[in-house]
Amino acid sequence: MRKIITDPLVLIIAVFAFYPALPYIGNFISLGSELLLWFIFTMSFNLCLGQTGLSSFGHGAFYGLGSYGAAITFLRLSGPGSFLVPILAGVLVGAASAALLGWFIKDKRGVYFAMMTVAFTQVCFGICWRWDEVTGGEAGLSGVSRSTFLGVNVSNPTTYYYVCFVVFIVCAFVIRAITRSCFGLSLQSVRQNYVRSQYLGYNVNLYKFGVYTISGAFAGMAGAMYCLLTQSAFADILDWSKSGDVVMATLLGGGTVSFYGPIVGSLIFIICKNLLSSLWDHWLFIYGMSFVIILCLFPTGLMGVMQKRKKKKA
Amino acid sequence: MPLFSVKNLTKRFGALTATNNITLDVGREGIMAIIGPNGAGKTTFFNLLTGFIKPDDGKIFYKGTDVTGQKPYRIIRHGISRSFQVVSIFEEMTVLDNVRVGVQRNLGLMNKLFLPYHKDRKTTDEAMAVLEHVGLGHMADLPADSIPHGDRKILDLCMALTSKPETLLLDEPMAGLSKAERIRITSVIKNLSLDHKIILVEHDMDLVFSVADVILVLHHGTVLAYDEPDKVSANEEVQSAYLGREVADA
Repeated sequence: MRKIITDPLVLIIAVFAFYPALPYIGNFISLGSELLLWFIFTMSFNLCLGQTGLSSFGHGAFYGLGSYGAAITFLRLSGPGSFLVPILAGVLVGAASAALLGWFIKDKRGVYFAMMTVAFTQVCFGICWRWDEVTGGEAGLSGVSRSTFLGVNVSNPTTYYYVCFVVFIVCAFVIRAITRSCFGLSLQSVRQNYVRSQYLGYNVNLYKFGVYTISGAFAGMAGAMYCLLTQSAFADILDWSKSGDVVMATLLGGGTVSFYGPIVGSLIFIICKNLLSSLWDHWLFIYGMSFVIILCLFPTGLMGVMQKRKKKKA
Repeated sequence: MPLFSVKNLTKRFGALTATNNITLDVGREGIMAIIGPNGAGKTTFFNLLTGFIKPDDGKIFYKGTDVTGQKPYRIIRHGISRSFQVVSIFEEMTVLDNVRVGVQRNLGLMNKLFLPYHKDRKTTDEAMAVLEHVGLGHMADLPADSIPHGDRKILDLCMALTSKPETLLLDEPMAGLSKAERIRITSVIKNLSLDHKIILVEHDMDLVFSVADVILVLHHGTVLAYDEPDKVSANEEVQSAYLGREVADA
């Protein structure tokens, strides 16, 4: 029982269960949904960076393609009234695109890997920005709507928030279980010392491909749910700067040393983005400066600081 | 049947031929040592045998099976394993987890998506047994980057054992160790040689002549001698190329 109460994930879940009742930010219900989806997205990214050491700096591609996958499926195939199908389509598109890219770059490392992923995002952005017939081009796709799912009316923002909440809980526990599993340990070995890993019998490239595909599936799901949240899909979420945000949020939170890093980081980023930006247009200046200062002083991010303090106490 | 059988093995690095057309059957006896002056091609030869680099020419057979150019993760499936000159471990894991990575691979559990690795009894027991065997049991829960250098060397060796290899290749097991640690590793190696075939590259002549059953002397990428220790030390060519270099210079 004590283990459950002191579990940080349970704490996060407990807080978000009462999000609509929270003072001030509770009024922005879709901000809450966006936060939860960002948690899923950054956790999926951290499966690559923190767990396996893959600098997937173009991870926004899978989020964006998941979003388009859901929108196109909704508009062309499943039609109004559908809910689960577009989301599943997003998962599939995310996983498939990550698998495709992963297969070609699984033997690349470091900067080369990072650059290939950024290039991939830009290619996807270009396609979505220009291919008017399918992606709506610059105007994007709109007309996606939420109606009912399993008898629940999900068109209401609060209800949809709780759908995101449940999905977040499932994803968080699944991703955490993966990081703590035998497979997770194999991934860690790849990150820490891939040469040694090979000499213990691991086909390192195959692990990189595998985790990339899994990560793409989660990112695609987050993207698809984001599409249903905003009821549209736009090319700007495929922009490379979006992928940069994910990297920054994850590093700021301390994703390299902690499973909770991406959650902490996205919490700060999304809240800054939505609240600071309404106060001051140049909020990115403050955010960027604090990012630089924090990472210079604490390279392992905020969770790294927490862990160190815990160790000192012990 | 010889352990390794190499035919016309050649590896060049630019203009330098590090391994020059070697044809040889090696490793019938317990411990084989590869020696030679600096730049003789010892490490290259070692790395070719373990699949770390690919040869430009020639073939390598392990117990009759062609393993030329196979990737490391495939090579080890034939029963070959190696340690590293510069300690190669998972620095951020505990000592026990370092060994676990190898053990879970050997037990076929490495792809279990939802099996918590620290809860698997079989992996833990087997990993602990390996650590106990070499006297690192009491360090199991310490972070790997916090233990003394000598113990790290042994941990490196320990990890090589997790695939239950028949042949163990050790790359300079004595590099950077103190006298006391050298004595300890020597006894560990002797112990291992009881149930493993061992091939080692080493500069420490005390170790080489005290444990090796057979010595391979390389010079300028070719085989100078392949014989028992006392015959090697009596070999005039070896003496002039290597052991007696100072005498020749004087």
